[in-house]
Order: sequence, then C-alpha cells, then structure tokens
Amino acid sequence: MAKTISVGKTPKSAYQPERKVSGLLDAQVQNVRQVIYRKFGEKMGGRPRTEEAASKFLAKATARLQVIPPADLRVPAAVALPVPPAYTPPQKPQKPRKPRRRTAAKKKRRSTRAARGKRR
Amino acid sequence: MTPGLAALKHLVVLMMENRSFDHMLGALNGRNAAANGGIGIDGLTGSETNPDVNGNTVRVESKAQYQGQLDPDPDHHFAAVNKQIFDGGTAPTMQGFVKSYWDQQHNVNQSKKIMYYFTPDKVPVITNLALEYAVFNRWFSSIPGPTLCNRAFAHYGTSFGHVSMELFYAGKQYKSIYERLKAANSTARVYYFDTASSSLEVPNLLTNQPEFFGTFNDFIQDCGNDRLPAYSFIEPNYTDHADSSGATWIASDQHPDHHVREGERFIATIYNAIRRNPVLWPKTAILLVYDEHGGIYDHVPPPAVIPDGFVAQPAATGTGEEFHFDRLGVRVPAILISPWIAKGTVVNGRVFEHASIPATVTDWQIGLLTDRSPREKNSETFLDLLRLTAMRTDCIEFNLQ
Repeated sequence: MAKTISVGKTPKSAYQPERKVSGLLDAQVQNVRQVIYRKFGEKMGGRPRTEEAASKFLAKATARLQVIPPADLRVPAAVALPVPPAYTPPQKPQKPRKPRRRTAAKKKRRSTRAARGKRR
Repeated sequence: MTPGLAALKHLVVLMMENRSFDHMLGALNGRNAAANGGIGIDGLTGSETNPDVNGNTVRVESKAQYQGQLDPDPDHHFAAVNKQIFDGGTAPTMQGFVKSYWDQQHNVNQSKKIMYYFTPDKVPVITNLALEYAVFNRWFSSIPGPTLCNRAFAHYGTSFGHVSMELFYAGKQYKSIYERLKAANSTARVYYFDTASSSLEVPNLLTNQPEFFGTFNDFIQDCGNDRLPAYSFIEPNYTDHADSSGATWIASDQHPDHHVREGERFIATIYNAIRRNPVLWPKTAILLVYDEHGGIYDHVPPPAVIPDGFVAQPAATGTGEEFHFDRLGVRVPAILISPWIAKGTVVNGRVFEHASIPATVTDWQIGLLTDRSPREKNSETFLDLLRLTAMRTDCIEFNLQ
C-alpha cells in the first residue's frame, strides 16, 4: 500500500515581490541583456532592483529571444481568435465557352480523312 | 542489463538552489544503515562545530526556518567558499562557515545561523524521498563557487574555466548534453518555470531554440500525455512574480531567502506528475539535486578530482591563486528516484558531482563519446542504482494541501 505524505501550504506572506534581487537574479538579468545585445544589437535599459522588476525584465527579454512564444505567452484557448477555415485558392470565374463552329473547310477536311480511312 | 534500466525511457533532473546536504538532510544521520551494510545516511551527529570570530564554539542546531533566517544571502563566491572550507589554512577542515557569514554583516548572532539545519518534519518531501529511494552520501557541487559555473557542469560537463556568474557562450569545444542528444537522434529539453523566471541556461537560447526549451506547464502536459523527451532538465521558479493573468507565483528554487516549503511543493508536484501516470512511472527516473551549498554549513570536506584542463586566474578566484578545477565544491543533497530502486538505498563509497549528469545521460543514450571534458569522462554514473528485478508497488505519494 502506497503511503501518502501531506505537504502543507506555503503562507501567503512568503510572496515578497519587492524583495531585493539576489546576486543570482542580477547576474541572470545582466547575462540576458548581453545576449540580446549580441544577438539583435538592442540595448535593454534599466537595472531591476526588485524581484518583480527583474521578472518583468526577464519576461520581456525571454520573449524576445524565443522564436516561438512559450506556452505562457500564447493566447489562451478560451480567448483565442476563431481559427479561419483551411485555405483554398480562390476559384476563377469561368467564362462560358462558346461552342466551336466548324468551318466549311474543316468539315471538308474531316470528311476527306474519313474517306481516306475507308479506302485503307 | 537490469529490468529497470531496460525499461528506462526518461531521465528527469530537477536542480534546486543553494542548500547544503547537512542543512536539508543532516537530521537523518545514520538512517537506513541496516539496508546498506551498516552505513546509513552521513548527516550530523549534533557535535559538529565551527568557531565564531571571537573564538567561541558554535554547534550545529536544528533551528532552520523556511524563510527570514538567511538574509542576507550567505556568500558563496569562490573566495568565500574557500574560506568556509579551509578557514585560512591549507587543509579542508570545514571550519570557516561562521566566520565567512560574519564577514557580511559583522553580526555574531546572525553568523551562527549558517550552522542551522532542518528537522525532518519541516521538510517532509525531501526527507521521504531520501528515505524511500537512493540518497547519495557523496554528491558534491562541481566547483567551490556560485550557481552558473556549477550548473554549467550539469549541462556541459565543465564550466570552461569559469568560477563565477559571468556569461559564456555555447559553441566551445565540448557540446552541451542537449546538442549531443540531438546529434544522436535522441531528445532533450530544458523546462524553465515561465518567461518571468526564465532560464539560467541562456547560451542555449541562442541556438536550437525552441526545441530545447519548454515551460513548466509544458512539462506537466508532457507528463500527462506521455510525451517527455529522453532527458529533461527542470528549472524551478527563481522569482516571486505575477504573470500576465495576474496570478502570483512564489519562488520555488529554495535559494535563500525564498520559502523552502514552496520548493518542497514544487518537488512534490514534479514527483506526483510522474508517479500518478501509470504509463510514465515505470519508465522514468528522477534526479533531485542542488546546484551548490549556498554558503551553508556541511561537515564533509570536498575531495580532490582529476583536473579539468582549464585554469581560473587569480583575478577570477579572488583568492590570489589560480584554480585548476582539481577539487570539488561543498556537498549537496542528491536523490535518485525510481520504482526500480530498492527502498532506503544509501549510496556509499562513490563520489558524484554535476558532471555525473551529462556523463550518465551520454552513457545511457549515446554510448562512447570521446569529445568530453576530463572531469566528465572520469565522473561516476548512477543508473546502475536501478537494480531491482521487480518494480516496487509501495512507492509514496504526496498530498499537496
């Protein structure tokens, strides 16, 4: 029988977005900034002082680096725009074809060929 | 090949932040000895001490708190860790932790908190995982230094001579484990929490994206749909932040001063996502490991290792001396989880470090590969621990309140 272990909730007081950035976060911000400059030649200004500010910076920078937006930046399914129907090339309006008239010369040529065939 | 290794299709590595072995698991000293030839978990006896700056003895105490205790963040840059290990001498006595923490605020009472460790009831997730699966008595951080150079060893098997937090680029002589797996037609992914927390594995954002990257939501979905890659590396949430919908997220990396219980919940969430999928559980192993000790006390002196072929200059080490990558950093918690591991396994007599991760994955998925760092090539691998002949049916679950 598998044992189940309870894990308590984290208190709401643990959430402190105004906490000063750690050395790790500061380094992460600087490194991402450097990557963006080297990759796109763009300078991302500001030096975030709090975790909240660092998070905003990182969200913007990471989105810039990602070719395809990660899942949390994609439009949620509930508010997604209606998907257009599959593409079909537009139909060209077809001109009514005029019935070909056989000219007298063509009629004569045809009847001659038929006659030759019979002869063979 | 054991049945567990034959069944293995996915290895998931979760790397947490900045806690030492003794700080998280020291209270389990001696546990599971009977199942391991009389050698149990190598934790704290309670008699371990460090001198403070006045020469008074500071004993280890089970007074660790989830938050608010290790503020300021204990220094864990190379020079500070050198002091913690050597205390100004030449032998690794592990006697300089209190003095090193005192350096930051010149506060004797605050400096003693570096010796605090958790009681098992405060950290039920890591405690139960350690007691139920395989805990490593000798898993050390790769460098006596901070996060990024240590994490580099998990990705590349080396830090290319770096001992600090500076950026270094991919495309060096040794490929990352992700690039190696791709070249071998295998699959790998780094799952970072979300864009606001982002990834510490920035160099890889420059190449092969987005196939190497996903978010934590992607990970949970991939678990549910049985679409995990062969190798997954998970990064916890590094920041307290709100997302675009206004939902708030508490950092789960356990980096001081982030709340340790949120990290426990994060570990349990990953475990449950795999454990509760009956298709995934038999063919997946999880390695829970910490990147480095974060300046917090541990009693085991780091051993020497084969040099890495790189040299960090005195300006980088901050000690006035070169570093030849010939010894490891401080010991960290590491637990291997799988239903094919005997309950209560304690891994003794073998030394592991973060280069053991790419070494293990390479051996498992690629086989012989010579183009690797000397450290990685000489690292222990760990999948031999999946040695049961029948899968366990008594594996724990977590109930997140």
